[in-house]
Amino acid sequence: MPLSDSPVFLLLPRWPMLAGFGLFSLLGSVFFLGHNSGVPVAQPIAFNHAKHISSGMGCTDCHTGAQSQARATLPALAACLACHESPLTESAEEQKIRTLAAAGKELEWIQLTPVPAHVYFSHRRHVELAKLECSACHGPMEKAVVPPQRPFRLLTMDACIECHQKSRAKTDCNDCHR
Amino acid sequence: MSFEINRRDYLRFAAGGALGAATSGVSLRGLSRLNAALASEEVIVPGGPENWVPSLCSLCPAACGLRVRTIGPRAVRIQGSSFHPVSHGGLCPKGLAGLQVVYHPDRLRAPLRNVGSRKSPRWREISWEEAISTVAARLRRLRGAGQAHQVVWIDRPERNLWSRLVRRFLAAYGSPNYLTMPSGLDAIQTAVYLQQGVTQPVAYDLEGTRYLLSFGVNLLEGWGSPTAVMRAFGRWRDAAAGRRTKFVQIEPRFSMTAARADEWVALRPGTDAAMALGIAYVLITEGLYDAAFVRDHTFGFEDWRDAAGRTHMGFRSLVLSEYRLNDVAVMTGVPAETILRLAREFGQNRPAVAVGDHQTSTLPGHPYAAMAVHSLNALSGSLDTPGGVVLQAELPLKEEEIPPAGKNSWPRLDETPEHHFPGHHLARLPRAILSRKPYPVEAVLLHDVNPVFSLPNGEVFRQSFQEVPFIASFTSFMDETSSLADLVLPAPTGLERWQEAASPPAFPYAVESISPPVIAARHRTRHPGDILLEIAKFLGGQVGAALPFENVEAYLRHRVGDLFAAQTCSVYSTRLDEAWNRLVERSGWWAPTYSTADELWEQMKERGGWWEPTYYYGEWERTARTPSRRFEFYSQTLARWASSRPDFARAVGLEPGDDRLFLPHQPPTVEAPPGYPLLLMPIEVLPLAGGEGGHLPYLQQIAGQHLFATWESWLEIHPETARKLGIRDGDRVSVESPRGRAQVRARLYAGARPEVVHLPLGYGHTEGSRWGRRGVNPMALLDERYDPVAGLAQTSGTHVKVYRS
Amino acid sequence: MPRWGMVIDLAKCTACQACVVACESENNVPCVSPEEAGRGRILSWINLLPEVEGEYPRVSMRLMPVPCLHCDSPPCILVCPVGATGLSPEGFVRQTFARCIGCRYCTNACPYTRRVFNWYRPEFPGEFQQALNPDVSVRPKGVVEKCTLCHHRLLKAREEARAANRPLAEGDYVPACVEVCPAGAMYFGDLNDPASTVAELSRSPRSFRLLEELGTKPKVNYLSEGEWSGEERKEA
Repeated sequence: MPLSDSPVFLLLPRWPMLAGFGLFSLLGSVFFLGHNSGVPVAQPIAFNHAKHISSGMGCTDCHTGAQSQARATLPALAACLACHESPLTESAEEQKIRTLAAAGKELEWIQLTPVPAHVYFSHRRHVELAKLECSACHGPMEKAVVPPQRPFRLLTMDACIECHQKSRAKTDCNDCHR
Repeated sequence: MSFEINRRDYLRFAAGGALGAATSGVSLRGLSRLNAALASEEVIVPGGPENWVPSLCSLCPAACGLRVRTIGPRAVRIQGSSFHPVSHGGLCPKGLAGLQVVYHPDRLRAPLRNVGSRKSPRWREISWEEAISTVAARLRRLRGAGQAHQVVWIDRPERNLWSRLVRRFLAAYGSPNYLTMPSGLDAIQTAVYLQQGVTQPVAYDLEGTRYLLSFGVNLLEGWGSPTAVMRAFGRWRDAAAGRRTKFVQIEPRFSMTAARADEWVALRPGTDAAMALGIAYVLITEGLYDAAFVRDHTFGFEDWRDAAGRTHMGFRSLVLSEYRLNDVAVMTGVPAETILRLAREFGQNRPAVAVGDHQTSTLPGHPYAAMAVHSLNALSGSLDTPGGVVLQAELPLKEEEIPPAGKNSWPRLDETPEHHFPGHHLARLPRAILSRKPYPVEAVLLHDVNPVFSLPNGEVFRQSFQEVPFIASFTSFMDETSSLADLVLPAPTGLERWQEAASPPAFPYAVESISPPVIAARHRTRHPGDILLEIAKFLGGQVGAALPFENVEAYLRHRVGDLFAAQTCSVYSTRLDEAWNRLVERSGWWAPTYSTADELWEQMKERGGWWEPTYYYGEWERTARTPSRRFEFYSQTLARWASSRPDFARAVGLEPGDDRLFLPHQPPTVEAPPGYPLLLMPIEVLPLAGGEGGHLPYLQQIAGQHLFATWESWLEIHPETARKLGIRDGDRVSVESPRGRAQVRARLYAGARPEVVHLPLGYGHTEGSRWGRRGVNPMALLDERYDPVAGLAQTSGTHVKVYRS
Repeated sequence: MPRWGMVIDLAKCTACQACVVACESENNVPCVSPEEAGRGRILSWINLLPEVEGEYPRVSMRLMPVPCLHCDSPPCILVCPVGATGLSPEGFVRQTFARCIGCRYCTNACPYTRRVFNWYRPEFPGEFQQALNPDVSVRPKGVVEKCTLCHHRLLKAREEARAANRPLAEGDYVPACVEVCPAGAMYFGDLNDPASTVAELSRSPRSFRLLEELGTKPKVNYLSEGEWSGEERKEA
């Protein structure tokens, strides 16, 4: 019998996961958490969410895809410059925008709450169609005066499922996993 | 009839590709690799704002309409545009592989100067300023020295706005040498000229055809506009349409086209003319031809008497005396009953069309055979009728006068020799270069062409280019011809640039597509048009005045002004609007969606282009411009030309004064030289149609699917022939012709004729992409032979021997 | 509840393989190395399967594009030890790539050989990675993958329809292979809707399903050349 057909061979690839099948869901959630609970996130600018919101702006003014696309998107430098082309304050952080622009560089925001590559998440579906508040997943972001280093809420699969079950949304594997 | 497949059959059927897997198996090495898989790595695909933008496919001359999905600055998906009148939302596999062109790792990244020699080039990256000034200064110097005519431009055979721009440039500059690559349609086009007296591109209204006889035309493997043909094929077989067009493929090999045809007729190689005339024999003897059409619109069917009172043989006499059914059966190897049945079907179904003679998209057939096939169209009365053979409608563009630059009577360098019917064939260029006659060549400019690789006499091109003092090439990838250049000027690929395309080959309607860039040009590439315009500005004077455009966009916009001025036609639209426009136009109205040239321009950019959806059939003055103003079975055009050239008859192999010289007839087939018992016929597969696409992994994977051959050339050989030679499926074998030898894997194929072997075109690059270098280029083995009428390359008589290596 | 299915008209198919490339490009299917390709390890989710029969000059070739048939009784899902594959309520034979442990029981269980295994880390040489579709993941090494009927397109189409406050219409959701077919030989839609094109065509006397006798109940229907073949036309 060729080696490739032996049962041992079949067990070998990824055997730790198979051996720990009983612990599978636990392992799974640990891996899942790994995505957004690791290194503290340092953003290029100490952006003040609270100040922008209190000045009358809404979330989707900068995260423009949140209602219409799968991805909410992080604003490009051009979006900041629309208001901050000339100084509005004496903030050194604000000055960074124009310094970057003068150097022809882009703002390299770091996504605080990424979903794993094997998950398809559509903002449009949750925000526009299911009418979820942004804070349902992102927590009290509108009160943050400095960019949070870690997400307010950990987006685990359990958290998704809990909400889906409560609101009787679909829980088919392939409605989220891709 | 049910289509039964049992499980065992199915596994055999599906597992062919895994044949190698069974023998190679999985080793311990494989296991350790698998263990490495435990550390899985995720590929993160970046997101961004999504957009869908119109564009054009640049992988073949058909230029199908695209919708391209962009995510931020990236193009991530190519789909067909349902507005486009050629493709109607469909695409072929080549078009879908377009993103692998854009993001290809082996693209040229900056202008290159050869600082080594022609034989062993060494490339140095230079700036665009240096590149442009080098070309421009060279052109200025040559022009100043009265050597403008010694500049040669080689381009693709398309007739579009780009070709008009280049021709205008050359005319103002003072060179007659705008040369183009050959097309597989050249033989048919020659027949149309000899029998109808027109030079307009021939086209076929395939969707309306009821019965189609294809003489070796690879209809489903890259001919004409592949998507348009496939769409027509789908419609022929649409059960909802309630009728089915019958499509018969006549050729020696069981090609994919033959496999999908309603019937395949296995023909002895090179006997297409006899086959067509055998069918004509039955049509004539059984009275199945369109007698009224033949009487009113043709010349030379019956025997006739010329002004001097001499009697000439007519088509009927020739066919009845020399192409009797049983004789044709012997010549072609096709049973007489089959010929009889095909002829009856052809005669009883209207519109019935015959198309041929043809080898591949780049290798034309034989003019006499093409005349024989085209004569069938006259017998069935299918000229300029719905569902028949038509002439491609032309764009209503203004032809501006260009003042002649200096002495304008220099002959072109690709002219066929005296004993060939006047024509232009690129294959003639090397001889002119090497002999320095009628004048030497000082500079060659290449645009997106690779004659060294894609012509049967590529090796002669290579030698002759060693002698040319200056060569520059506009291309996106390094190739065999560009590697001989002094300067390589990298072009952006289709999606990164302004694109434009006119009607694709064999498509009846006048079409002009335009598309802006979808994404920014990658690397240090620049649009060849912008470079040309910059050079024109540098040269100044008459050249600058002839091309006063800021850039390609401005030029295209100027030409759209012409289209607007024509006050006809419409912007690409949905099928429903299209039907409405046709209806309105037929009743003599024109209902444009635009009122200014600017509006037209904006709409064309958005919708993809502009076209004339109506074809005006039966305009006889336009269709037949021969001396008799009729379709000529007996070509008086050829006869008049030959009257002062006694050597023509000898070249054809007939006596001077023989009427068959000017009538379609079976040319002699090539005898096998001793020691070379097999015939080699190159084949074209759709993924590598036109011999292009070998640099794209998507296409390499599927190119030989009928034999599960991937990523390599294969030699198709009949199982019995292979057995006699001691060759098993998958063996490495040598194919040797008097011109060269190649090593390749033999694949036993029941669809290969016992005395014929086949090699696919498009493999065996020696330059450029890492993926294009696999396999062998059959062109290096093919005979360099030219037909005696038009001087078209004839490679179908190449004989080889095959042995295990 | 819709039951998504496909009809492939073999009389109209030109064997061009546009469906194959469309699928690879839509679903981030990597091209394996030439050596691996030679071992039959090409990862395509849909293949054109040829079979040559007969002897010259009486040769025929059967050519069928075969995606995952999304059986109603799929043998492949029964053998998965970790529940990575299953039948979704709308009839998709789904594969949750992140959950797959690479045991390849399913690849053996599928009688149609429509599941492929990632033997190596997927590679996108040069800048090919730029062309990846963000709607679809890239499956890592050691995972079995297969046709999803472009399920991500359904999610998008549904969103689109809901945002416009209208029901999902026929043609809103089609997989990439069906969409591109230049000959219009592929149809897609809801088999549960008796008025849909696919339901109508699947009732045609020309309709058959591959290896139906295995009891797999495939949702991909083929239309044979049947009474439309040249042979029969000749006899008529």
